[in-house]
Amino acid sequence: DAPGFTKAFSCSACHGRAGATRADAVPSLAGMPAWYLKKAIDDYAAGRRPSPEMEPFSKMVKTLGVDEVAGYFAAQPREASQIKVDRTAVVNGRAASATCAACHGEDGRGDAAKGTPDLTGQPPGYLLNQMKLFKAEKRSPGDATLTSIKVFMKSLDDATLADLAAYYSSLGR
Amino acid sequence: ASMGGAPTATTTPSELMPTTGRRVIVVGGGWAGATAAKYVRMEDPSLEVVLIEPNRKFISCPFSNLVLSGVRSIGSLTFGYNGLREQHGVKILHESATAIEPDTRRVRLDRGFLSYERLIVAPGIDFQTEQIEGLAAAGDRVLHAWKAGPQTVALARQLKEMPDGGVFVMSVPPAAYRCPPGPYERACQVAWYLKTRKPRAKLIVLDANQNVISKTALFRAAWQAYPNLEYRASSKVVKVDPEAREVTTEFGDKVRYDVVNVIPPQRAGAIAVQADLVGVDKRWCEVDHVTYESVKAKNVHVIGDSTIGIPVPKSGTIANAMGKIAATAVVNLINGRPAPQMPPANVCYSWVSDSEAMAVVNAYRIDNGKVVQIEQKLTPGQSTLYAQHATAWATSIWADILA
Ligand SMILES: Cc1cc2nc3c(=O)[nH]c(=O)nc-3n(C[C@H](O)[C@H](O)[C@H](O)COP(=O)(O)OP(=O)(O)OC[C@H]3O[C@@H](n4cnc5c(N)ncnc54)[C@H](O)[C@@H]3O)c2cc1C
Ligand code: HEC
Ligand code: HEC
Repeated sequence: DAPGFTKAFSCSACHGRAGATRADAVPSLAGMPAWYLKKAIDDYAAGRRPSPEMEPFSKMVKTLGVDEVAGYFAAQPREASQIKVDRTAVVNGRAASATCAACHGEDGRGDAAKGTPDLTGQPPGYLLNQMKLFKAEKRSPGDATLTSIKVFMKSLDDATLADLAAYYSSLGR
Repeated sequence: ASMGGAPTATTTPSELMPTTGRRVIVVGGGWAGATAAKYVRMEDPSLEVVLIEPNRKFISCPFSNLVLSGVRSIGSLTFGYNGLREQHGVKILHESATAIEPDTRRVRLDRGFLSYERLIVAPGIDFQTEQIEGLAAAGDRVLHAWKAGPQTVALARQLKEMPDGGVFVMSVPPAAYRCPPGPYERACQVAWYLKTRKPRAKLIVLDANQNVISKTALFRAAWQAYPNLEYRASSKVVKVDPEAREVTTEFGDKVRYDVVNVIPPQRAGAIAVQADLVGVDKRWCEVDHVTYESVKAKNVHVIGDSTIGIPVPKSGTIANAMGKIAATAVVNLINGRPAPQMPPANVCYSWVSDSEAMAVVNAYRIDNGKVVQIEQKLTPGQSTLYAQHATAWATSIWADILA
């Protein structure tokens, strides 16, 4: 009977039951810290993080009460993605992850102080798409706080990004 | 089906299953009804839920246009009802409801009746076959393929067997009908198939509406890739002649075909019409925007494509959302609490080729007890990224309905 349960009704159409996705191209919301979820919703609603799907739904969440929705997902057990990842890609991804760890942590679980999200167990397709969006300056374009990460992503080829996606997705399984 | 009390050998119709407590009946186990059945049980396991659905398998209309182009198999869109039964304790009767009696709170089936405390009616759409001369008599020779299943497979086969150089004609009914972008997505899939497999063949789309009624600019842009697609607006099909292989529009234009797909005008599922849940137009059911209770019958809630008056499209996403909201309303009302005010939300992805999709998204809020739109947004174009999102949507929403 969590207050956010009803308010999060429309999210399961894409993000899975209680935010634990079974799909590859959308993120899991289950267990996501409330501060990050709220920032994402704010960014989508304001158009800072462009997404034709999430912009309208974020505006809806704001009319319903973002605290309850964020609280609901934060309280759900995080379940790692079950989408298959290639073992070699995981090994290569780990080798390429030193720079990432500086911000996302050695364990990939993110850091509220640095504003970084937990990457572990997210579907590999979603992680790869987000890195490509950073690289193409399509995620949060013009956001000065993200310039250095975008510069770094641009220095990596797509195969390395896929390795990194496989590695972070494999953590916590 | 043999659950609880077997029908007695008398001629008087009897209660088919003695109630084990407070009972909710759901008529129709499609996108709206199956969702509602599951969520009533999830939200209050003390309620008995009986789902009445003639089909033993759930076949998804969304993505079924991809069966026509051979991009997906019908098997990949076909699911069982075991999840509802085993994970959620929904009792399922694979039969048709034959009548609804709101005064006595009973649903009739062939063998007898079932009593309910509250009823959720979700029978989808039926066709106004009588609106097109020759359609009823044509039988299986003229297919709609607008309820995914055997007709989808049969139309795919007709398309495959059509000679190169042949003409495929499809008709779009006047709004309101199930899935506004659906016919235009279908046009993309047929045109893509013809372009890759039968380069000399042609598709003619006869639209009863004055223009493409959904994602207009996006479809028009997508059709640039299909010079084999001829679109004719304001061309309502009023007659079909399977002997002459010819359709006639309301302005008397005759169009010859090798394969035809007539999507007829539509109304709420027959049971809703028979139960007089429809308005003066005899087509669609008006409901309360918060509880989905029928404006015409107490304790009867109507959801999904059968409804009208809420400013939402007839889509699977909306049907799924209505299922959850109505389930919550029913659970609260049965327990003597007010129903929370929850708006639905919509997304409709359309596949424009074998690998690219685009979408329309609608968000709503409730204002003075009525659903109003906050915003409608389109994807800036078509892409493989949105096709990935479409697949994620399908995976997630099928599980939300049935798992
Ligand atoms: C080609 C096509 C593509 C589409 N693509 C999309 C898409 O991409 N995205 C999207 O959101 N929507 C899409 N739709 C629309 C979507 O399929 C419908 O909006 C959705 O199915 C509506 O759900 P419903 O529960 O109202 O009806 P249905 O899903 O049709 O379910 C109604 C059920 O009621 C049962 N029934 C009827 N009468 C009785 C009775 N008397 N007793 C018992 N049971 C009964 C039927 O057997 C059926 O199972 C598409 C539709 C088509 C045709
Ligand atoms: C139509 C499908 C769809 C629906 C419904 C939907 N989302 Fe999303 N969501 C997406 C997609 C696609 C993305 C990735 C967008 C991007 O590229 O930034 C996403 C991303 C997110 C993110 C960012 C997560 C991260 O790791 O950065 C959050 C938070 C989110 N959604 C919350 C919600 C909530 C809350 C709801 C319900 C109110 C919801 N979503 C409904 C498709 C959807
Ligand atoms: C300078 C700090 C920094 C570095 C270095 C960095 N990141 Fe990030 N990363 C961030 C921040 C901050 C965000 C959240 C952005 C936001 O709020 O939208 C983020 C977000 C992401 C996301 C999106 C997650 C989601 O849920 O949407 C991915 C994927 C990601 N980073 C992967 C990486 C990888 C892989 C590397 C190394 C190649 C890396 N990052 C290096 C700071 C960094």
